[in-house]
Amino acid sequence: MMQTIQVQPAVSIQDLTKVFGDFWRRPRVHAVDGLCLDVMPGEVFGLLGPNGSGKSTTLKILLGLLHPTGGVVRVLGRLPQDVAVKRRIGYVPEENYLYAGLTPRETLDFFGQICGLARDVRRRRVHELLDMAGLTDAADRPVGGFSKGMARRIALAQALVNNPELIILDEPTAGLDPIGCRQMKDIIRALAASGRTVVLSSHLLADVADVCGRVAILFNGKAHAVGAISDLLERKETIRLALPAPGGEGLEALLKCIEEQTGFKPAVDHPAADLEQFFLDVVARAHAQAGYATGASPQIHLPSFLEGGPDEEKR
Amino acid sequence: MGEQSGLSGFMAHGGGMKGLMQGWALMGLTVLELLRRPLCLLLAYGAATLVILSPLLAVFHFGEEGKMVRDTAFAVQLTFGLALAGYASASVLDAAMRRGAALLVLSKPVGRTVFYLTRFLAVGVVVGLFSLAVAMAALVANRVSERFGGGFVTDWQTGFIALGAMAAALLAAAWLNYRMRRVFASDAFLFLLLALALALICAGCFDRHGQWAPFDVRVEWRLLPVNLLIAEALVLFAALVLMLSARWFRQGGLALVAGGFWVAGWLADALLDAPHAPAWRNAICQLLPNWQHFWVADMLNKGGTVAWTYVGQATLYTLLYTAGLVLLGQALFKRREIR
Repeated sequence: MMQTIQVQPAVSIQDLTKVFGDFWRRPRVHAVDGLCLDVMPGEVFGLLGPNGSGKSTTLKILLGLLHPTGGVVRVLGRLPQDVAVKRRIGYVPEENYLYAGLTPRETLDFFGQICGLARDVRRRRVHELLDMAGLTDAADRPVGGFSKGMARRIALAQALVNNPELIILDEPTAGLDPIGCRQMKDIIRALAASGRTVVLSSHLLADVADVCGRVAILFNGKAHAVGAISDLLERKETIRLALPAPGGEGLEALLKCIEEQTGFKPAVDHPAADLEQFFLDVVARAHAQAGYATGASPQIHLPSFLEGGPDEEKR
Repeated sequence: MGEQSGLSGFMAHGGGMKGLMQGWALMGLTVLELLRRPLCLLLAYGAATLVILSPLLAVFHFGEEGKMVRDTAFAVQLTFGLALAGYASASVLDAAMRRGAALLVLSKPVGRTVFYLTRFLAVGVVVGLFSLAVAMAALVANRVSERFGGGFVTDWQTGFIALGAMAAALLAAAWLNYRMRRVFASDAFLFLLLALALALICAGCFDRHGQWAPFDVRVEWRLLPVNLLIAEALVLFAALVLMLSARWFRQGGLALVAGGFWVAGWLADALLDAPHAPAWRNAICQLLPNWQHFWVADMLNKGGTVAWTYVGQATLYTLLYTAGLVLLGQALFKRREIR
């Protein structure tokens, strides 16, 4: 007899509605309108949409910061307003709302403290997270003097200090240079590979395509397309061949043959190198030559405490 | 299932010690944040300097120098403290939400009750430190206008020592900022307290001729109950502003309504409390914070003192009223949306 195991979604949104009212409590903006989504554990899920489409509002409802007008939301099986569930969540907001007077070390220690981590655990994690963010050399400079990209790295590090099960990222690559973007994406992939669930919002389509398994495209608070990226983007009626470029007459013959077989004249171009990869290679060579970096270090690796499961699973 | 709040939220965090650690971290950072604001430093320095300068700059005092110095000190504590309490309360909650700091903290396992309570306690600590600075300045200033027989003699030496110590505090904070990149404002605030404590010890231990004298004889400790009562009024006002900013009012509206409560609290007795007045007038009178309870400077005239039993009763009034405001404020804050 087959036994089916029902996996509970990490995030479940049913018919979610959020209406912002004016001073007299009259409805002013329908930020989210009947949204239904399920995000499964271990998935990287992207919320896509133009500005004002309801992405950030949805994320803030998941964190219990905004109250839904209608519908039911469950995060890790609990209501978002439940304080205890936030121990299992890490959040990177759209803007870097860090305490300008604190150093990165103090910032991470503070967030570790309010997550209830013991002193020795905090010390170890802060060290590893600073290393991950490439900010060990800038660990004792006030965050207020940091560039947007460096502050973003601290924002990501604070979200991971409690070794969360679910990571919510609002525009995670906003303000990052190409190295930072690549590192952010590598971290997201590594977090997903370690079994964590990631929900992110972005309007940078290329970044979302690089890391997300499934996406929802929002407009005016409604989901207009939901599914796996491969399913949404794949054009099953078309194929692409990649082969060493044949000589002049060989190419003509090949194209003629294809045209005879399919009835269509094929398009031919040369695949270009990936600019992101090209950029990263140039910077890596420059870094190796110089031996240091004035800003954030371009090297990155996931802290060891994140390589296992989330804290809740270890308990 | 609603939000776990209050004690249940506190316990959900993992028990007493962790909850205390969380509350301590939140309060400590909020205090530090406030002390790093230039306006807080400006108000504390401005108040202490004005109080110490008052006996040095007075030209005409008609034999009432002691009263003039005392009343100046209390008035300065009340007005500057009012500005500090209002600014600090508005900035720790309303401004923190507009800047996004609240959003990041509340995305962590921090209950709104704990968040609100620690914000209030932090403002209370800062108001307390400010009041301590002004109280020490008042004791020094009172000593500068030293009483001899029937008249008063200005002790310039003690006055300049106090002003010099305050200037040295600023220089020390500037030096630390230059050498170690420490934050100037918070260091200067804490050094101000140290400088005033040293000035008070000097003022208490030496007479105007530089002769050693027993400490107690030269310090007018009877000023302290009045300072304490004004500090309580400031804490009460801070709780009121925090409650108003929890949900209903922001920026200009907040200042207007808080100012309205301040004026109404002073006028309540005169306008509403009359013999045979209707019950609703009495009720409003009882509900408004009565600031008159906290202004007892005139009791010090002619060598009078403020009875500690009165201070105890006023403290009880403050505790109960503040507790009510904090409870109401945190209930309002629970439903506030953090955008």
